[in-house]
Amino acid sequence: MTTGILVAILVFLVLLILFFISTYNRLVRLLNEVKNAWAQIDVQLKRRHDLIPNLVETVKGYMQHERATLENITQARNMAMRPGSVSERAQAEQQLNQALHNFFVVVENYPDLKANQNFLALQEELTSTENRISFARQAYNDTVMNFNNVIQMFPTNVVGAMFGFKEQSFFEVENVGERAVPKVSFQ
Amino acid sequence: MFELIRQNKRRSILLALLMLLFMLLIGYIIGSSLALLFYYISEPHAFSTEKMIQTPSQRSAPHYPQNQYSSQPPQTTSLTYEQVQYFTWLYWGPLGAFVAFVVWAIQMLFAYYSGGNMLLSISNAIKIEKGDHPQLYNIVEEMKIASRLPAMPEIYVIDDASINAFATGRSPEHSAVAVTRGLLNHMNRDQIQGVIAHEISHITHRDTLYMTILAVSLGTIILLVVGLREIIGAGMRGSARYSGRGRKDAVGLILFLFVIYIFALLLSLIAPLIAQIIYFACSRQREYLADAGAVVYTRNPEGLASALETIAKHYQRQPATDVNQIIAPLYIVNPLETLNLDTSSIFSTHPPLQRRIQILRDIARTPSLSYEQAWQKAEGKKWKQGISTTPATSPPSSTPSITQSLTSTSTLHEPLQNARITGNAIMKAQNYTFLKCKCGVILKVPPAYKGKVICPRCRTEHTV
Repeated sequence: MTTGILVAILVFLVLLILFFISTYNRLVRLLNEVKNAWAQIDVQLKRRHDLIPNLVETVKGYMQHERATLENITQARNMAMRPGSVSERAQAEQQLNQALHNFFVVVENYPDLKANQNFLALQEELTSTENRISFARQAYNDTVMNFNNVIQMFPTNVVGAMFGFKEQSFFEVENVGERAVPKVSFQ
Repeated sequence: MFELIRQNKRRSILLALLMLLFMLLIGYIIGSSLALLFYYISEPHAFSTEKMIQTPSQRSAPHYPQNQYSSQPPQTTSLTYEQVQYFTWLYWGPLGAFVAFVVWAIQMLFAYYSGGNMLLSISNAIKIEKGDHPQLYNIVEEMKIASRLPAMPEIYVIDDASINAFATGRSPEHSAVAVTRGLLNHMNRDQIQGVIAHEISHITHRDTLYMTILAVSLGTIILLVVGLREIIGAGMRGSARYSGRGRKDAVGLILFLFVIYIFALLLSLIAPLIAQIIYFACSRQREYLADAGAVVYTRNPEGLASALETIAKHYQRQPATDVNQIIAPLYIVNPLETLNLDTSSIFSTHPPLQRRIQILRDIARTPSLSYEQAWQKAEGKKWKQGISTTPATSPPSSTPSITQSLTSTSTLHEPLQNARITGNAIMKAQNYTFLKCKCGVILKVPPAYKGKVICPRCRTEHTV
């Protein structure tokens, strides 16, 4: 009778320990996924920085009158590449975004440029880079969601709290204004 | 949507196991019925009414049945009825299941390691590098980032005018996507992205492996039951000759064989049918899931929806014929079924195109709608993965045609009206230009678009 109870307790303890081990390992894996996904965003930002000198070189000949626009891009790119705090870099990336956006508005006035094969190839690369950055951010948020789900749900949250795992934060638009609905007026 | 995909992974494993069990059961039935047959011939005493008394020691070793054509009198070591039962159900039956498993495992190993390459080579797919088609390469790499695939899939282009794509590969580390030249020619960047996202979700859901397991099980089941039918048929012909040599119980034997033959015949008709129904039901469900995955990766349901629409229009003009029904689940649409836009039978590999488009469009209109909810709305029943063998019928038509116009009418019922309000808010956030035509139609123009827009109702030209 007592041996029966003893065996039951033993089995329970072994199962409990197994649960702790597997949950701990799972949390470590998920956290590493989050870190890796965050690093991926940097990889894609770097890709964009590397593309910009090429872009400026290709379009310089066509766009004599748009020196200011091109200089803005180069400047924003150099700012973004400088090491700094996360918020500083985010701001610099924001400026680069703006500069690129202005550039593509201006490009519309240069039909020759739009027929240039080199430029078209670069444009595809830039489009793809923009996509990659947003997909990398999206993937990062997905990993954060997976991790936070485990951290917050019972019973895994007990293990998470025991080993000091902290909730990870989502990537959000730094500039809150960017998220707000723009005013549209009908004339 | 994430929860949905997770749930489905669990259920898929269960279903594959079910199929495997079904196959083993058939192996078991074949093994034991063959054994029964052999015993009937070699141990006629066991089946006669007067039972011989045996020593238990004879149970220890399995007794290999005698050659059925032997005209020797029964052996002195003949078995009792109980022993025959014992060997049949506990020895030969499991052996049959084991043989079925070995046949399955051999085929599975072969399919696992070379199935993907075989598929690529029979479709004359050519591997491309970044330089050959930068846009396609970029799109695949973008989707690789969005789906967090551990390795870049190989990219193949099939030099064919039809519009199609498929994914293959035994694991996310060893995967490949293939698209036809026609697809690249007919689709814009967003549409190609939708298709690639669909294919990449097949890879991340491990659908190739899953469907391979099911296909191999299906193949083994067919092989087994056809084999059984042939063996019994041969046995019957053999025993007919054998009866001529003057065995007294030959009539009983032929009768017995006939019963087993009928059973085998029925089995060979029904088993593949059941297996196929399971196979195709799984396939359809995996397609919906891959669509859901594509929405998760691109967050742009409209891309895939319009891609499917392009495919539907294309195949209405020139239907394809040369597609194998077993490998068809790997394609984004089954070219053999594209003519049935809004119905599918229990033998369809893919859900009806119009239904898929409708679900994606519903999500595009109301971003808060999950794929699951949209599916339930379109199907009019609860989402359940797996053996939903009921064929899909025409959906309650909330989208009367596959082509959606830019117009808005004031006679929409309430849920649709709410959907439009949300949709408009999203479009405004994305800097869409809203143009009000004098006939009352509001035109929503994407921010990148410059040029003329013609109002679909009154044909007035607007300049953006």
